[in-house]
Amino acid sequence: MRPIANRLALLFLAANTAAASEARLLWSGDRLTLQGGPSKDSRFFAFADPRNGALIIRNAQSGEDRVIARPPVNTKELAYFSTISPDSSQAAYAWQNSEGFYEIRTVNLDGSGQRTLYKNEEVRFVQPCAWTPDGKQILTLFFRTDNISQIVLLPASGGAPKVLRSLQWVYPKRMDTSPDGRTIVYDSFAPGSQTERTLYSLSIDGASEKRLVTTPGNHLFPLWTPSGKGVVYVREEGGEMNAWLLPMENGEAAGEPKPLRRNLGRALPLGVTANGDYYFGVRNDRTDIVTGEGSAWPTAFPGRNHGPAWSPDGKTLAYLSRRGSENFGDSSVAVVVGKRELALALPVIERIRWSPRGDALLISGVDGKGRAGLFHVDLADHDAMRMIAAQGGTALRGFPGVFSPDGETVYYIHDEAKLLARLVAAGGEQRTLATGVQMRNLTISPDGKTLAFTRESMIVLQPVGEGPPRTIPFDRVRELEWGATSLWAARDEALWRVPIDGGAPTRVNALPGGRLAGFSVGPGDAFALTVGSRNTEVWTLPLPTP
Amino acid sequence: MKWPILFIAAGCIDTTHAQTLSVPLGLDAFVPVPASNPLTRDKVELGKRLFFDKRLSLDNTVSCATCHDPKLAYTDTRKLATGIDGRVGDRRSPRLVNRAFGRAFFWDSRAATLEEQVLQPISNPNEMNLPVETAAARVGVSREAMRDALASYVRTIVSGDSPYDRFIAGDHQALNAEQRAGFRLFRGQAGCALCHLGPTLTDEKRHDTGVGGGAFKTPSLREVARTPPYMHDGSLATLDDVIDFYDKGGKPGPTLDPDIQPLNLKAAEKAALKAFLQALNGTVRDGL
Repeated sequence: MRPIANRLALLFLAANTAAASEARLLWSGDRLTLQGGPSKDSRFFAFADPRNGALIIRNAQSGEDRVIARPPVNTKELAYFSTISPDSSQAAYAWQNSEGFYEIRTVNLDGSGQRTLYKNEEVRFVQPCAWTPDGKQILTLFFRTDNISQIVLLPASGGAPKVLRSLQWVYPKRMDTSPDGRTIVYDSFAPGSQTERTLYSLSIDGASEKRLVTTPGNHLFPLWTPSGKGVVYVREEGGEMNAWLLPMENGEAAGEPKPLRRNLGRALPLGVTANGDYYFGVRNDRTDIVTGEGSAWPTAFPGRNHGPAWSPDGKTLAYLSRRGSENFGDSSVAVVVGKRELALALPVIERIRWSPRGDALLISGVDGKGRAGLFHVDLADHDAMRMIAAQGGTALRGFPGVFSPDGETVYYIHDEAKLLARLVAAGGEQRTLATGVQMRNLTISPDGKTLAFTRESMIVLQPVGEGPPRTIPFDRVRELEWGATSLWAARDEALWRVPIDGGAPTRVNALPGGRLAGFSVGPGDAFALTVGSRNTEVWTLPLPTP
Repeated sequence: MKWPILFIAAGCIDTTHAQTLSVPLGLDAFVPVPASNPLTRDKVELGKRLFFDKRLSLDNTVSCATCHDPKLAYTDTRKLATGIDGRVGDRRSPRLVNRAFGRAFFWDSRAATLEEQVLQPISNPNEMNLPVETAAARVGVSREAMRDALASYVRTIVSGDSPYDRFIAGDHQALNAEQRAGFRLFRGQAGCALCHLGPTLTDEKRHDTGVGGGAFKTPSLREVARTPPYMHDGSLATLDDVIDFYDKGGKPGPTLDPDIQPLNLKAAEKAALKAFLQALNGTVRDGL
């Protein structure tokens, strides 16, 4: 008897032979995002424009794009996930509002009739996933500040949400309503697992729940077929994302899953249309780290690395490296120091800073209890990690932080609102250096006397000791680093030198691929840069009719 | 008042007409019910009668409801649970609301299901002190029928539709400004929501919060403001005492949960936290 892997390969070979030629690339480009999907009648495709946060409806026949929700200029408002109503008259979408959290809105596909359906500061992230077939309710994911996610039905005409199911911090990556409106499918962790997901069906009234698959492995993104007699989903196997079809009857599995297509790529399923086309997006983004005059830093996982940080002696590079085959969210990021990968229990990791002695890291991220903050990792003590500062349930972003030159103090920005100094020793005292809004991107001068951070459209130079702050007008800064001789900023996919004694910032270079996701300035102004490219594709695959 | 003898044999209970529990605002529509004990109207009604039946105790003086008073969110006002002959246990009677959603039962989490839990107080010497088989015979049902009926009834005891629930449902005015500030502290600086989370306001896990005696299961905070005293040993008389206790970071100890840290709250922050906790009082109901 052949090993299971071989048998699966044969199954997929048969499946791909039938379907490979029928998969069709619809669109590709760096402007597409994969937080929307097709209308049931295949006429429209919704997505958010990454350049300005607008919600776009693409006419599938003409290719024409129409903006149906546009954020005001110079705000952090933007559109995110969206889903089009069954009659193709409206879209429900998540909107990051001016207060910094997401609300659910609806708008007609001609851009008229915009309204807010649900807004709550304690439910900071919302994701509309599907409409019920009668168009009366929107199947929505709530992610609350207490780190609980909830499967919710939201009345499309307004009114209180009906919570069907609360889950721990893990959220379904996809939910869908059946064509008869009676059953929801979603993915969530298998019992006893914190890594592998399985599929569940839940009756629309919440009365009953069934587990649909019992095979080991990671099962994701379930979507109903138009007949309601199947659920198509993705199973992560050996680093590949493979599509499977599960026969369904009366809300329950009605047979063994069948392989549908092997290796979708770094795929994100987007929806199934009434004529049976399975839409999925593929992100071919690459990010790599280059040093010096453009030489690539050798990494174990090329194309998936970002956020470099030089050690104080300039001999070691720490960086972030994405893991996993699927490409949804930032929940799988590893910290690599030199060639050693650290095992850190942090679901979200954003930024690394070294201690002056090179024996510890400060990591900006979010822990498993949903606390956004700053974490100290002692490289000399088995990578022991402790929390320096955190805020429960407020944000998905960590706190920027830096060490003082003597390593005794950590400076950090708490929840974008306070610049604080805190002794590294446990229980050390803390003092406030500055307060404000949208305070981000902290760095420190080599002599340790001045901190620099961004606040709204300014760079602020804040003395560590006495004295007033100074400001440098310079907007859209995404990162800030203080080198040996100058202050450096990442802005508009390019690197800028920012004089601190007056004079206009100067653009130094644009980066290959037009993408910058983290840089570091080491001793002697040696740079490590993240460079890369962004490309997104939308594909369709005809599903077999049952 | 004594209940009539029930004379219901296990085989006579209708298990075929499974019912769905209707829940108040704030709770999940999905209520976990074991396949081996589906909710039926007959079982729930039997369970309710048994819950109030003092014949389940050795000297016919104590029923489940003696310590779990429906008027007090199914707890009582005593510091420690008190059974027959005035015997005092070593733990406070917990509120029984929303236990349908529970994953661990008793303060020490020694039962994994309601079916495992409900018969233990009957035989506990400090509570009802009657062999379960004897209790079942007294009321004319089998042991299994008594277990399933009591578990089914407790499963229907729910609390929701509080100002907190209405706020989460989108009614911004359901909490006043002080309560909203308290909510922000609750899930933020004070760190309460690290353990008291979700619709049931508990993580169902055990933590050593520095009260003494080790780690105990996180209780739900539903109906907390109207059901003093507090903690597993009833050692804190008021909500103010509880807030002060956590503000100081609990009592130091080798197994103290690392999330228990001094909070250094200001007086106004303590008041806000208390105001928010009062917004967790809602509607308690039972039955199908």
